[in-house]
Formats: sequence, structure tokens, C-alpha cells
Amino acid sequence: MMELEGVLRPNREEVAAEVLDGEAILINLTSGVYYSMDGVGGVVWSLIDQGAEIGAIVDRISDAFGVARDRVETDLQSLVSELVRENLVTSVESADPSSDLIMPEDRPAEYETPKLLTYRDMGELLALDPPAPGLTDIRWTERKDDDKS
Amino acid sequence: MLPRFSAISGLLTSVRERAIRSSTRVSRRLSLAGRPVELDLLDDEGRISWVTEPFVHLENESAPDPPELTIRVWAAEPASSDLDVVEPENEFGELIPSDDGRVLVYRLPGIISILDRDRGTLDAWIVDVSRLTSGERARPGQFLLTVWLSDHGVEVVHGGVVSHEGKGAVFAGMSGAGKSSSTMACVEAGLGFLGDDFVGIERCDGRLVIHSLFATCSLVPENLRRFPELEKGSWVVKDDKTIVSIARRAPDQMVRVVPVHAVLLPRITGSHGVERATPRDALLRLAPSSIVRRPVPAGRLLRVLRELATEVPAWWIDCGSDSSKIGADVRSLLESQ
Repeated sequence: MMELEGVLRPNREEVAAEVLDGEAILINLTSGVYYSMDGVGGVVWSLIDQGAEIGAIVDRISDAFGVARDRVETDLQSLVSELVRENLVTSVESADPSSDLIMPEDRPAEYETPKLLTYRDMGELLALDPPAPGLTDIRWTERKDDDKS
Repeated sequence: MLPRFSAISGLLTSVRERAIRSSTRVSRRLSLAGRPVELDLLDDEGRISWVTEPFVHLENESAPDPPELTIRVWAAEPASSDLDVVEPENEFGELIPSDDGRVLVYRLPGIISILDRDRGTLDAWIVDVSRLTSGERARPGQFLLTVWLSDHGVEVVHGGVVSHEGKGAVFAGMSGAGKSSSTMACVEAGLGFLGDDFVGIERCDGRLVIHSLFATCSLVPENLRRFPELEKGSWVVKDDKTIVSIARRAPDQMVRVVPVHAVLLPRITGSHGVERATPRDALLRLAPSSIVRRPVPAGRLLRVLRELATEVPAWWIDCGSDSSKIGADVRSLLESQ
């Protein structure tokens, strides 16, 4: 398993994400593959969304759920490796991590190994009808209700 | 390599001006998502009169002046020297923006269009009607209209929408999930129709509403066999799909706008019934096909869909062999909301 260093952040260039009732729903805009992570996985995503090093995420989750750090580290190394492999997060060595990680309020009571659920059905359709080139070149006027993150 | 934006826009302008000088103009006033729009056909030979068909239910001679968008459409064969400018290199379409992104050129096989977002004009040059896709015939200008609508606070989402007693229900799901057949079952059961594939969604007075954009739907042969009565609205066959105009089939059932009261998730189980679904189920079925391939910022669309998934109840609609039961189930559901 790869050792991950640097600050983890969502890959906002290619991924759209929303957290709904503690569950992270992610859509890879290039491949059409979409994902969900609930429970502790949703918590992990919320922390990555703030920009954090994996060690800091492990510490926060270990403290919040009262679970041995070793176990959390093993689980998160596996999950984050998968998130990087699927191009959902990036790891930037030179970036500054968030100074104070805020745990989401709607989190589960108990710790369970976080899992990434993957749905590839949309990706198969997209392969037959790919997006028009040039889509990323449209400039948009920011609206008040646009996501500023 | 894509041609320069200036070369394309220059050519389009000169061809358009020629069409304006030499053609008879036929105008329609529309209310598109409640906004006044003028649709002008520059057409002496009747080659493009069909462009009005998908918008016939939106015609509104009382729409205020001036229009917020003027759409001009003409057909002309390009000079051979212009082919490299009009012809897309990618069969699925290409978007070529101006440097400031305020003017967009969109090239598809058979048609090249240009949207000026600041001036509120959309010009479409039909180069070869025989090469237009079934999507472009059923929903002309959808791609650039999606941009214009988003600029005006209306997002285009993927779903079928029906209504009953002024309450709307959105069928969500990817192609092949039963969305179209469920929508058609409701139409045949007498429910109102707003769209089969793409509709507009907007918040009005604090409430999410759905706007009908196109009166047409594209049916694969299997769906046409299931709903033979729909052939009465049959309009054109293209790419192995039959485009049906619901405005022809059931003009009294066309609805322009309705507040949303339910999200419906069809699933093909062999039996009929409804079961409560979660907001998560709704979002997982609404989002992917609405967001991927669309020209609007994904975060903006996803947020609107999240609001839809959390503000109205979602239901699984089990679909069996008797499609008449789907209409009855949806009617009962909406009556209970």
C-alpha cells in the first residue's frame, strides 16, 4: 500500500461532490463513474474537503471515536489509496493544511471501517456518448448561491 | 486543430445576414421557462418549419417585449471553402468559446450555432438537416439553451416530468432505467406532461418548480410497441428512434410549469407498487446523468439536485408488465401529497 504524504484535497477539476445526511456522493465528471461513502467515510470526506494531511485525519477520527490509532491508520491508508487511484483526491506536498479540522455534526456513533462504493453504470453510457470537447472553457459568472469551496 | 473563434463567428454573421436579406421571416413568441423568447425562422422553402414543433406548447403571443432571447434559424448549404469551418472534427460536438467566454459556438454534424450571452441572441445555421441527430431534432438548440437558461437561474436536469392536479413528479434515472416508459405510461393514463428527457428547474417564491422545455420525446421501438397510441403523435423517425410530439398526441395534457411534489425512481421488478425511497437514493439517480456531459458547472447543478432530493419525498415505483398501473400509482401518490 502506498504511503501518502502531503495535504489531501478533493480533485475539484474533475469531481463534483455533495454530502447528504453524512453520506458523501461523488461524481467523476470525466469518467461518469460515481461513488458514495457513508458513516465514517462521510466524515473522512468532510475532513479531506477542508484540506488535511492524512496523519491529522487519523488523529481526529481516532480521538472522536475512541478507536486505536493503528487500526484507523490502516483503514484510512487503504481508503485514501483508493480515492487517489480513482482520481477523486489529490495529494499536494507543498500545500498548507487546514489549521483546525472541524468534525461534521452528523457523524455515526460507532466506528466502522469506511468503504468507497463505486457505480460504473453511467461510465459505460458515457463511453458511447462522450462529452463535447471545450466544455471546460466556458466561463461562468459566479452566482451568490454557487459553491465557493 | 479547431478553427479560430473569429473565423467561425465572422462566417456565421455573414451567412446570417444573407439569409435575413433573402428569406421570409416567420416569427413565434414563446415563454421559455417563463422568459419571453422570439423564435425567427428564415425559411423560404419550408425546410426548417419543423423547428417550431418542440416549442409549440410554449407559444405565447402575449409574451412581453423585448424578448430576453432571440433565436434565429436558417438553412443553407455551405460553400466548399467553408466546410472546414462548419464541419465538426468530433462527431459528438465541439464547443468553441470566445476569449472572454461570453460568446459560444457549438458545432454538431449538420448544424452550427452561436450564443451571445450578453446580447441574448442564439443563431443556428442548419447546414444539412439529414445529418442532425435525433436529439437535435427532438430538442433543437438544447446545449446552448442550457447555458442561457443557467445564466438566467434555470438549470436543465435529466428526467421525465408528469403532473396531476397542479403537482409535479420527476422520474429520475439513467437511460434504460424505465424513466421514459414510466413517463409515457402516465401520459397515456391522462396525466399532464412536461418533458421526457430534459426539463428546467428553478426556485420560485421559495419553492422548486419544473419548467417544460420541449413537447417531444424520443422513443425506442420497444416503447412504441408498448404504447401504440403514441404513434398518433409520431413526427419523425431518426436514428432508430421515433420522435413523438405529445403536443400533437395530447395537446390538452401539455403543462408549462408545475411545483415539484415528488421524485420517482422507476425500477423494473415484474410487479407494481410504490415504496418510500431516501434522499440519498433520489440524488444517486438524479445526479449522474444530469451532471455528466452538461455545460453547466457541476457544483451548481449538484446543489440544485441535492435541494430537490431533500425537499420533496422520493418513491420507488415498481414497474411490471401492466403499464396502466404506473399511471394509477402516480396519480394516487400525487393526490396524497
